[in-house]
Amino acid sequence: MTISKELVRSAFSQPQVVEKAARDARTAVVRAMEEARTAIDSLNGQVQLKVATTAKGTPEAKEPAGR
Amino acid sequence: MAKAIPLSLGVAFGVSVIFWALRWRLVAWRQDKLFFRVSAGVAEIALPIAMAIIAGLFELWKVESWTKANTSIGIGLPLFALVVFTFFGLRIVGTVSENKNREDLDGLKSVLAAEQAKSAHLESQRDMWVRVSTHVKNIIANKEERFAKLASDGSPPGLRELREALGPEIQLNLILCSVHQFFLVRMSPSEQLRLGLYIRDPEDSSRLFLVRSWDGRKENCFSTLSQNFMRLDDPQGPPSAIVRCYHSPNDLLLFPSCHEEEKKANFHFFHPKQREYLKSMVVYKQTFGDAEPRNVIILTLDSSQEGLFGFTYPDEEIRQFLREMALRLIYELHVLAVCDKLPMEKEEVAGR
Repeated sequence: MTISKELVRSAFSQPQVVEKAARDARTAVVRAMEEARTAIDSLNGQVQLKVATTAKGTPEAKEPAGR
Repeated sequence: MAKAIPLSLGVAFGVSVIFWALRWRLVAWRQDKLFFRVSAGVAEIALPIAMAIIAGLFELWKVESWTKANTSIGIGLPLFALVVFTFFGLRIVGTVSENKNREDLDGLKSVLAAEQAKSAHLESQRDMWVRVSTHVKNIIANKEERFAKLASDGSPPGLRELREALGPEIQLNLILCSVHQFFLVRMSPSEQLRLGLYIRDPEDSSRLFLVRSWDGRKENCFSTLSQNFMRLDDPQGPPSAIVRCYHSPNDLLLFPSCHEEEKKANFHFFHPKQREYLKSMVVYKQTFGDAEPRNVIILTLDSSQEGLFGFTYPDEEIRQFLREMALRLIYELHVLAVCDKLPMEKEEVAGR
């Protein structure tokens, strides 16, 4: 990669872009944390369900209803 | 007497059969355990001997002292012997079973503890990757929105529109601000967090060049003095953690407590005042490209909050998060370099 110091510096020296990025980053991080929390809760729920199902036995192993 | 002899032998034979059966069960249970093999061996040897002695004594006793006795005694004694041996036999089997069950339970407990530890580790790894991937997704989402807008426009995009949609400047700033924000959210509001991005100086490859520093409010928050410590070929040795990271085989250098690390001569402050606000630090490097010397970008984060790195954030989460972000920074730097070569850029520059 050939990239000059000036070019790299210029990428970080536009006040409007920097301000917008800072705002967007705050929103993005908060949103990402909420999404991560939801995803982790969902995964934990799936794991608990799986554990409960395994402990009770698979539906195939149970006697058919009505007997 | 004539009746008693075969009877007592028959009883002795019966008891032996019971013990042989018990011995067979014992060995069948746990052949792999030395204790059971030895117990079975002892029982095997001891049983015929014990039975022979008892039967012999019984016969002698009867001949010498009980010739006139009722034959019921001859039946009663072997029965008594049978009860006694069965009792002891059951005790042996009970003890053996108890030991076996205890061993099995201990084994299961240790297996369970190991599985629980493994599960907790996998769960924390999973959670970490979920957090990292959602952050990456949200950074890419920004660019995706720009391209979605471009795609929905009826007219074919020109170079200028494509350039704006790529927006490497926006992405670079967004990634750096996101890295800063990622760590900031778990900090006390009164504490400070500074971020630095270094690359190898394009004009002097023996130096690292500070591209950007940011503390959440202002840029260029590092003292100019720090630039004096960025020589990669310093003959006095590298006092800077950043230069050390560059030369290190490890991609991550972590200083949970800079003061503690200084006591171990593992960390150096550039000037005394740094001790007041520099308490925890992390340095991450990412090499890229095939050219020699290798291209590198280095991300540094330092905080006034002791233990922020290494305790509040575990090192593996820091490494994976910074790795993902550094790779995206490299990508955006490449995009920036390509955009700089676009004819539109040159025309614009010429026309300015």
